[in-house]
Amino acid sequence: MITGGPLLLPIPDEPTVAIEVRFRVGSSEDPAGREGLARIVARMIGAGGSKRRSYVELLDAWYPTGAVPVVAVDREWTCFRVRVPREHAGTAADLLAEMLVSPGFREEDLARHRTAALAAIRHRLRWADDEELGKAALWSLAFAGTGYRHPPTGTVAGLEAITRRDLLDFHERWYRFRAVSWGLAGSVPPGLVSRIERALSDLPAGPALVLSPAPGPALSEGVTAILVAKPEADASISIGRPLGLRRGETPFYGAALATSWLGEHRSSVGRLFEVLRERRGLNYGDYAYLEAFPGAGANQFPPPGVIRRSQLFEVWIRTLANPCALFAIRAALAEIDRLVERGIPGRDLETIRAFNERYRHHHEASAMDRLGHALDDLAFGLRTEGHLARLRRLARELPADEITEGARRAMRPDRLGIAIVTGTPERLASALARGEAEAPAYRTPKPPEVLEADRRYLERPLVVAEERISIVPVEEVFER
Amino acid sequence: MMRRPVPFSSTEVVLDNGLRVVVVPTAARGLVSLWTIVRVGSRDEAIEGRSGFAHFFEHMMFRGSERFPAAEYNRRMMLLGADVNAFTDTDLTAYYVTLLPRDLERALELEADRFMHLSYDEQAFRDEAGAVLGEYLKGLSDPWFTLEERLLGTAFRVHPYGHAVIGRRQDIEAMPSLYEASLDFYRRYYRPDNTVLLVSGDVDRTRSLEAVRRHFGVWQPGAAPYDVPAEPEQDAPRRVSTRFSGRSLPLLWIGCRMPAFGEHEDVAGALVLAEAGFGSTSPLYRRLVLDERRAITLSAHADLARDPRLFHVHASVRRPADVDAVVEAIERTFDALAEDVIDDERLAGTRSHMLAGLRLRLDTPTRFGMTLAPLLALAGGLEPVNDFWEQALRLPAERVRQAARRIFDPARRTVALLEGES
Repeated sequence: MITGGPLLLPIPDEPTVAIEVRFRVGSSEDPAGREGLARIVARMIGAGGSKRRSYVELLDAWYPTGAVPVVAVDREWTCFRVRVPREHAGTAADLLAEMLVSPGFREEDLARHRTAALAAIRHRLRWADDEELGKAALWSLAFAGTGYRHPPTGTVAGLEAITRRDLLDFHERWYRFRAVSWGLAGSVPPGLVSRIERALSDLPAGPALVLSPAPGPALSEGVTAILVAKPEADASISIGRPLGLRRGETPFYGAALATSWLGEHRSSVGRLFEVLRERRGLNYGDYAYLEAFPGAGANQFPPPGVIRRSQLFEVWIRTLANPCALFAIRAALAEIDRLVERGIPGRDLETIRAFNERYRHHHEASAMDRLGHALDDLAFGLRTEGHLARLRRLARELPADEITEGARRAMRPDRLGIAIVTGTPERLASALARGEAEAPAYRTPKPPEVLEADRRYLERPLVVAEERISIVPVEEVFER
Repeated sequence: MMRRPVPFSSTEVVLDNGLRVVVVPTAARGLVSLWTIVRVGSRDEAIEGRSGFAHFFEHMMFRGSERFPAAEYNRRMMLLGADVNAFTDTDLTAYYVTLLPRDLERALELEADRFMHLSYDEQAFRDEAGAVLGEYLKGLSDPWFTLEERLLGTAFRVHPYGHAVIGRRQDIEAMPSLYEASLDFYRRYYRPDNTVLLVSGDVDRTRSLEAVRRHFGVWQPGAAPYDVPAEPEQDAPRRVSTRFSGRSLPLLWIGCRMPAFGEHEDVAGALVLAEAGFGSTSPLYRRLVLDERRAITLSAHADLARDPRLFHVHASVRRPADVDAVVEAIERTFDALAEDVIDDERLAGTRSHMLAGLRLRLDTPTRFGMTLAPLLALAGGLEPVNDFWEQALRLPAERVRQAARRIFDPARRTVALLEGES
C-alpha cells in the first residue's frame, strides 16, 4: 500500500493521459448476505451522482472530454480508470476527484445499478455466457465458504438486500486516504498531480485497514466437481488447482513459462489448442492461466488490478459437444501430467523463451496498461524489477529444470476442481463417478497417431467420488 | 495548423500491382502493427448457399502454404512473440500482426507468403468447417445474435446484408462440400488490387515501405469480385419478433435504412445523430435509462458500408410491459431529430465527444488498426478518412437534420423484438 504519493509514468508525445485510482477493497469484503456490495458501491461512485451534482449533470460534464470513468472491481481491489485526451485532462481529473471524494449515493442510482447487476446474473451470466459461467462455477467450488466464492457482481439475494445504509457504511469503512494507491501516465500537464493529490487528501484518513485473512481454497486432496445443469447446453469446462506461488518468486516464473507452453489466452499455438482444436477439431480453443483473467471473452491480455492473495492455476476448455467433455478433460490432464513430469519438450523450449521475451511487451501497449501494471508491481512489493520485466528476463535465464519445478509446484494434479456447464449433467456425473469416458466421434478420418494418442488419453485415470460431485441447476447459480 | 482528427501523418503509395500501402508512425513506442485488409466480406456472399463464406475463408488463411505450413507459420509467429489475429465483417476481412519493430520484416515475409501461396487440402478444409460450426453454436447462446439474424433477414430481402457475417446455419453445415468454391474465392478476392495494407505504430516510413514492396510487390493482381445485387428501396415499415431458447430480457433492435459510405454527408450526419440522439447525455437516454429506467441499456451506431445499410438502435428492456413504450420513445426521437435542429451547445459537445472518442481509440498500434481498418477499406487511405471525419465534425445542424429526415423515414424502418422476461 502506498500513501506517500502517486506513481508517475511520463510518456513524451503520447496524446492521452491515463489516470488510475485504486482502493484496497474488493468483493471478498462483501458482508455475508450483501454479496455484490463492493461493486455496487464502486458503480455508485464511478457511474452515479456526487453530493453536488446528479449523475445526469456529471454525464453532461464528462461528455465533451470523450472520457468516462471505468470501474473495475475484483476480489481484493477496486480500480477507477480514466483515459482522456491531453487537452481535457484537467476537467477529467476534477470530475473523477469529485466523484471519488464526495459520492452522492442517491436512491435512484442504487435502483439503476441493482437492476443492472441482477440482469447481469439472471440473464447474462446464467443464459448468455456459458464460458464465464463455467469459470465462476469453478471459483465458487474452489473457494466455497470464503469471500472469494461469489463473483464481484454478487448474488441475487445479496443484491436484493442491499440498502443505502449498507453503501454508506461500506464506503466509510474502506474508502480512505490510507487505502488509496494512484498514478498517472502519458503526457501529464503541469499542475495536474498536485490538483488530484489535493482532492484525494479530502478522503478521511481513518484508522488502519483491517483486511479479512486471505481465503484458503476449499479443495481437498483428489478431484471435486461441480456440474451446472443448463437445458440444451453443450459443455463449457474449467479446471483449477490452488496455486501456492506469487509474482516475484522465481518458481512462479517457471510455472508461467510452462503455462505459456500449454497455451496462452486466445493463442492458436499452445499445446492444448494443438491437441484439442488443431488436430481433433473438438472446439474453438483451449488455454491455461496462472492467475485469474476476468473479462477473458473481451480481452486479449490480462487486465491489471486483479491481485488476489489466493489464486488458481486454471485450464479453460471452450465449448464442445457433451459426449466429448470427459475425453477433453483427460487429454488436458494427460498433457499436464507429462509437462509436470518431463518439462517443456526440448524442441519447444527455445520457442517459449523467445515468445515470452517479446510477447510480454503487448501487455503494456497503452499508457493505461503500463500504469496498471506499475501499480500492480507496487502492490506486490516489486520495486526494483517489475513483474513483466522479470518474466522477460527469466524467460531467457531460467534453467529448464527450474521451469519444470515451477510447473510441478503450480500444476501437480493433487487437488483438482472441475466445473462443467452442461445439458447432460446426470450422464457426465455418472461417467465421472465410474471413471469412464468415450473417444470422440470425428466428422473426418484422423491419422493413426491421433487415434493412438486418443487411446493414451482415455487411459488417464479420472474418477470423482460420487459425494464430491454436485449438480446445480443454472437458475440456482449465485441465487444466494 | 489545426490537428487533423487522426492526428498522425501518413505516407501512402499504390504499388504497381494495385496494393494500397498506408504507413502511419504514431506516438506508440516498442510495437508495430501490420494490417492486411481485404475488401471482401459477407456483402460478397450473393451466391445461394454461400453465406458465411468470407468468414470461413478467414479461418482457411491460417492453414499455411507449402513453404510455411500452418505449424511452421505458427511456430515462427510464436518466436516473434506476435499478437496475430483476424476478423471478418460485412465489407472487409482484416488480418493483423502486432510485434516488436525489429521483427516487422519477418512478419511481412510470412504474411506475404500466405496471401500469395495459401495451400490446403480438402481434408483440412473439411476440418475447419467443423470449427466454424462450433463458433456459430457458441454464438447461439447470445440472444443478441438471434435477434441480429432476424433483424437483418427482415430488413434485406435481396442483398447479402440480409445474413449475419458468420452465415446461415444450413450453409455452414454444408460448407465441407465447397472446397472448389474456396479456391475460386481465393483467386477472385485475395488480390493486391482488392487490398489495403496498413503499417502503424513505432515504424520507420522509408524502411517499412521498402520492405512492403519487397515482399508484397510480386503479388499478382486480378481481382474479379462477383456482382452484388442491389436491395430494392423499402417502402413500408417492417416488424418481426422472435424468441430465445434460454432466458433473456426483452431486446429491441431497430434498423433504419441509410445510404452507403459514398454519400459522405448523410453518413457523416448519421455519426452525429447516433451520438447526439442516443448517447449517454441524450434526452432519450436520460429518460429511458436514467429517469424511467424502462431500458437497462440503449445505444446506436451507423454503418459505414459500401452499399446502403442500416442505422441501428439497440435497447434491452427491463420488463415485457415496457416494450411498447420504449419503441414509441425511440420512434418519437427519430421524428424529433428529423424535425428540429440540434442546438448549438449540444452539437458542440457532441463534436468534442466524437473527436476525443476517436483519438482515444487510437492509443495502441493494434487499436489504431482496429478503429481505422473499416474506413481504410472504404476510403483507401488516411487522407480521405480524415476528410470524412472533418466533415462529420463540421456538418451544420441543418444538414444533420436533413440526414435524419432521410434516414429516419418511417417507411424505411425495421423493428425487431426478442420477446423476453423480467
